[in-house]
Amino acid sequence: MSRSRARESSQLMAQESLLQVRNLRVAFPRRGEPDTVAVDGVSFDVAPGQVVGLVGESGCGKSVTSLAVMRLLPGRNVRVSGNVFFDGTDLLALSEPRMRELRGSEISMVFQDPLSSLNPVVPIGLQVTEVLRRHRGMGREPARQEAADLLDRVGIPDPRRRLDSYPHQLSGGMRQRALIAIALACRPRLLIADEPTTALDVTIQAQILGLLADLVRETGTALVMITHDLGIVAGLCETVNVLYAGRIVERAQRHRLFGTPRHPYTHGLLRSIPRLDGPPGAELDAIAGSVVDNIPWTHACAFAPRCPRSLRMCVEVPPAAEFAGGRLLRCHNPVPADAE
Amino acid sequence: MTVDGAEARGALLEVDGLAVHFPIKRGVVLDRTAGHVYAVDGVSLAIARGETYGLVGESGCGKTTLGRAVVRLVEPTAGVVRFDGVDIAHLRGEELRRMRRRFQMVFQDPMSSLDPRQSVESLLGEGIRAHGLVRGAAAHRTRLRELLDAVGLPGTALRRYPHEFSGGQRQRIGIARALSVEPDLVVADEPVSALDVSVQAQVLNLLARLQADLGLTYLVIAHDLAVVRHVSDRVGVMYLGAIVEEAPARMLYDLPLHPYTRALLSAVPVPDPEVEDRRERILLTGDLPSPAAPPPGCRFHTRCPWRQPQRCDDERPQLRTVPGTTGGHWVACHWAEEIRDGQLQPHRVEAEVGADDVLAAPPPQRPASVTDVLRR
Repeated sequence: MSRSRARESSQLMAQESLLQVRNLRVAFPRRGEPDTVAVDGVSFDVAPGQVVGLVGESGCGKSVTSLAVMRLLPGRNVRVSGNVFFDGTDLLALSEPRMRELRGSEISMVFQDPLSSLNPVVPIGLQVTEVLRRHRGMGREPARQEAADLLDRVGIPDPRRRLDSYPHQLSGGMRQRALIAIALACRPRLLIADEPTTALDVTIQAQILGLLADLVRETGTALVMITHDLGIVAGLCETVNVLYAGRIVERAQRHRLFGTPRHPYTHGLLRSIPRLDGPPGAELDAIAGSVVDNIPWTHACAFAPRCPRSLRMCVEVPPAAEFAGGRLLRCHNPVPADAE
Repeated sequence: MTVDGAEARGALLEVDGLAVHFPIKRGVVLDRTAGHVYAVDGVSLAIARGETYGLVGESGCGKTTLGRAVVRLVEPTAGVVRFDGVDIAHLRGEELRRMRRRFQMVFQDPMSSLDPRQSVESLLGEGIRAHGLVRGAAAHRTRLRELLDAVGLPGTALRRYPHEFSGGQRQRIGIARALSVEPDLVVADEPVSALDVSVQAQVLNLLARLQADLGLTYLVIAHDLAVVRHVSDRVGVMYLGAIVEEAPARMLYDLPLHPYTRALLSAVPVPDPEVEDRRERILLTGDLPSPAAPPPGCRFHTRCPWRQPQRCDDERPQLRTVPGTTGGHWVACHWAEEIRDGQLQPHRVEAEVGADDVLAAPPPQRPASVTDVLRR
C-alpha cells in the first residue's frame, strides 16, 4: 500500500512543481475555547502552466489557504504552520521585505470583489504602472505604454483612455479585467485567483474565464483557481482539490473526479446541483444538514453527520488521506467506483 | 399575446405593458429630473394557477424591479397588474392591504430581510395577527407549529432569533413567513443565491414540495439559469427591461431562439468536463448598456453577434411566435427564423465604447440595479 502510494505520488510530482504546499495548517486561537482550525493539514502541488482548482463551500478554508500562501494573513492571532515551497524556497520562512518583492512580481493574486481591491481614488493606469515601476524599475513613459498594452491584452477597449479612468467609472467586468492586468503586470509565475468571477454575470464570467485560460496557455503561468462553482472547475482546472472543513477530502484529474466522484461529499454535491442539461423538475438529491453540523477532524470525519454513507467507524476514527488510482481520498466508506 | 393563452387556463397573475421608470434627480435646490432609468419597460406576462414562472436575466436587467412591482413594493409607472382579475396596480389603502395577504415575497438575503430583533415566533405571527387569520392563542400556536413543520424547522425554533440559524434555515424562516398568511402567489427573488451549494438543493426541494402540497403559484426570479430551469414550468428571459424570449422550460433550453438566450445558455458552466470540452461558447463582448439610455431598436443589437444592418438598429422587436415551433414559445427578434435555420451566421462584435458612456456617466453613488441598493 505504502509503496503504491509513493509511486503514485511520485508520478504526480513528475512534473516539476512550482508551488508545493505541505501540511499547511492555519488556526485562529480563541480565548477560553479551542482554536478555530480553518485549514487543517492541506498539501497540494502546482506545476508551471497547470491550473489547479480548490473547491469548497464557504468556511471550508479555501480562501484562508490562498491568503496563507501569499502571507497576507494578519500577524497576530493566527497560527500558521507547515511549508509553502515556491520554486524551492519556503515562503513561510521568508522575511517580510523579501516576501514583498515576490508578491506582485513572482506571485500574484486576483480577488473576488474588484471594487474593494482597487484603490477608488487612484486612476487605473497609475495602479498598473505602480507595479511596473516598483517591481520592474520602469520609467514613467515606458510603464504607461506597457500598462496600455496590458489593458489591451485583457480585453479592455480603448486602453489609452482607460488609463485615466477611476475604478468606479468601469463596469464590474472591466474592473476585474483591470485587476487581472495588474496581477499580470510582472508576468508572475504563479497566479492565485480567489473567486474571480463570483461577483460577475454569467456572460461576463465566460469572458473572464476565457481570458484566464488563454493567459495560462500563452504565458505558462501556474494558476490556482479558488471557487465554489463546480461548473467553473470542470471546464478550467486540470487537477481539482475538494475541500471540506479545512481538509482536502478528494483530489483527482477533473475527468476522473467528475466522472466517478468517490467521496460522498463530492458525489453528493454533484448530484445536488441542478444542471442545465439534466432533466428539469426532478427532485434534487440534497445533502442533509449544513456546515454547522460539522464535528472536528481530530475526533472523526467532519462530514460524517451529513453523510449518507457514514459508518460507526466514521464518528470514531478520523479517516486518513489515501492515494490510489490517481486519486487522493479521505473516506472510510467511499462511493463504489462503478456507481453511476 | 401570451395573456390570451394563459387566460384560458385561468391566469392568476396577468401583467400587461408594465413599466417602471425611476427618475434620475439632479440639482440641489431645484429638484430637476435629468432622465429616467428604464428598469422595466413594457413587460407582459401571465402566470396560470399552480404554475411556476421563472424569470432570468443578468444584473441590471430589471427582473427584481419587475418582481417588486408585481407585489406593489414599487409603484408601476404604467401598465396593468391583474391579480385574480383585480387590477392591483391601482389599488389603495385597505383594499390593497387585504389583497396583499394573497401575494407574498421571499427575499434573496434572509439575513437582511428578517428583523434581527424579532424572535421567529414574532416574525411568523405578525402577518397572521395583522390579517386576523386565526382566533385564540392556542390556534395561533398550532398554526406556528404547522408552519415550522412545513418548512422543516423544529418547534423549538420559535423562541430563537434569526442570528441563531444557518443561512439555509434562515431562508426557511423567510419562506415560512411568506406562507404564514396563506398566499396564492409567492414571488421568490433569488431564493437560493445567498446559500451554499449543498444547501441550495434542500431549499429548492422544499419550494417544490410546498407548491405541490399547498397549490401555490410561483414567480421565481434568479440569475442562475440552471436553477430557474429546474424549478420552472415556463421561463422568461429578460434583457434591459423587457422580456426577449418566453417558452416552456424544456423548450427554451433545447431550442433557444433569441441570440441573447443562446449566449446566456452557452455561458453557464456545466459541472461536467466532458460537456465543457465539447461546448461551443457564444462570447458576448462588452457589458449591459445603461438602462438610463437603452439603445434604440432592439436593445440587444449593440452586443448581438447576429445583428443585421436592417431593422435591428431602429425597430424594436415585439414578442411573437415563430412558425415551426410548438405552442407557447415567444421571441422578440426580427431574425429568429433565419438564425434558427442557420441562414444567418454570427459575426464578430467590437465592444462599443462609443459615446463615452463608461467614462462620462455614472457617478459611483448611482446603483447599477435594485439588487445593488438592497445589498447596501
